[in-house]
Amino acid sequence: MALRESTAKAQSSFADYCRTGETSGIEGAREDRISQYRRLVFSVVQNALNTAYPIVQKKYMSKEDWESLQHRFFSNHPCSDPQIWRMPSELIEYVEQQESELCSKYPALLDLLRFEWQETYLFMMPDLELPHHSNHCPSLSDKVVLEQEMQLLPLKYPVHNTHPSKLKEAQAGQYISMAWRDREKRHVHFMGISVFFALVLENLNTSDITLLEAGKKVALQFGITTDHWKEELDKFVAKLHQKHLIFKA
Amino acid sequence: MNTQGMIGVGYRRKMTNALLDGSDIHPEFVELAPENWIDVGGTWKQRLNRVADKYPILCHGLSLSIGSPDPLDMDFIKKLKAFLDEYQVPLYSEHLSYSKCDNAHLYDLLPIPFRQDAVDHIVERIKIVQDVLERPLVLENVSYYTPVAAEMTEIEFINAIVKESGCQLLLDVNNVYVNSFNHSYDAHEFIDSLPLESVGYMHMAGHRKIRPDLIIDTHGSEIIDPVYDLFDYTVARTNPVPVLLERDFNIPEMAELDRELSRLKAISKSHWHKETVDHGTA
Ligand SMILES: [Fe+2]
Repeated sequence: MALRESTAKAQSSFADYCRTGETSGIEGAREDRISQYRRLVFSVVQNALNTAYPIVQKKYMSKEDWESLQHRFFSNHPCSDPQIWRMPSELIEYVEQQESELCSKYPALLDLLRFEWQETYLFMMPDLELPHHSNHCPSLSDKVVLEQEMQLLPLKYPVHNTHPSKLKEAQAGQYISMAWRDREKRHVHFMGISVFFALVLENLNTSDITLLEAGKKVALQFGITTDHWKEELDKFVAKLHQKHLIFKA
Repeated sequence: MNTQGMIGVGYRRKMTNALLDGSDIHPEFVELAPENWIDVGGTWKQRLNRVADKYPILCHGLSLSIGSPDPLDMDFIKKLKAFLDEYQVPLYSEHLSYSKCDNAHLYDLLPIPFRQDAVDHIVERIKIVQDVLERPLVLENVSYYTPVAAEMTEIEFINAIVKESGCQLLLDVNNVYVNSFNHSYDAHEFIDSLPLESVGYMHMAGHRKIRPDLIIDTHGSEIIDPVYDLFDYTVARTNPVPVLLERDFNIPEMAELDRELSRLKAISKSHWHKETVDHGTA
């Protein structure tokens, strides 16, 4: 590398100042001017995070806690994505790994971040082709094709159907938020589904089996001995088909 | 695709309908940041495709970080190439700055130390980027508010980069104006000292004076008259190149932007059109 160590060091200490707002001196920089860089850099990052997480920002966390989280995140976490629209997803991993105290104060924080990011990501993500399929609604004995622009998100708190102001009283449990991007208007939609159905869908996605086989597998896992689930699964599949999310293979 | 002498506008998402409709604003090309569009699908991909059907697309990147001490991100550059190929982009430009350091992106333009070793480092990297992209890299003189660890002047630095790498220059006229104010030098002399034969693209924009001694390059207001004057001075001394109006914040009515495009067109035409005629009769 042609770069001298002192040049790299000056660049590094300048970048470090922009990330943290703290400096022990940057070679040859004007002290009355460097704060402009910190202000500009941090406001770009804050904007991106505010845009990605409006509910967390405005409805769930206090302004003070949200802003200090943004500051700690940008100071401590090296943002690795060259595309800023995807950078906010890095906040989730950061909070999960380094913000346990904040997570005890805001128990639904991680779920809410994941939920909000799911919407942004599904709205923006690259187009995925829908595999070849028939337009018929599958019956339980059929193999199926699933909409690929669909994601399941397991949640500990019901952030998908609870107003953020009520989340403090919400019960921890097992919830699944299903989200998809429709093929026509390309909007993102959500629906809460049961863990049973989520596991059926996961099985269908990973193995080449019929609806009935997938249902049986999950029923066994749950220790269900009655056949009631078959009727329920049938209704669920009809509902998904109506929304163009499942087809007979 | 020949975009020389064309006047374009920086594509912001909220301009989409106006650009597609084409009644209030009439750019001859649009410029976009590939970072905002790579790996994007859904509704925005559809709209981008419609815009690309109607206008030539030039690209102006944000994350290449040509002046960074960090290694180049080859995965990103390959994705970039695929995007430039997909949209048949005739011109890709970037900033003579760095935006990533110690493996952390900063998503903004930091000033490179004006030093010979930084020149050598960047020249080496320009060649690598051009090889992978299989197209020339056009680099922009950026606004800076403080030098960092400088051992030469800004003009020496830019000249050395262009001369030693053979790259083209994206001359941002507003940045020259902003820097000349912030660092107390003469903007016209600065323009005269640039390698003007290497200019491949130009930017024009508005700025904001936030202190008596400091202007910030905001792209958030209209171009002021002294910058138009400096543009006129510059255009008289360069070959026809594409010219872009950058407006990233406080986006006004499209008709207002269109008036700025028309004024840029009139100034550039007064020099470049004449020149073409002269050449034609010579
Ligand atoms: Fe520019």
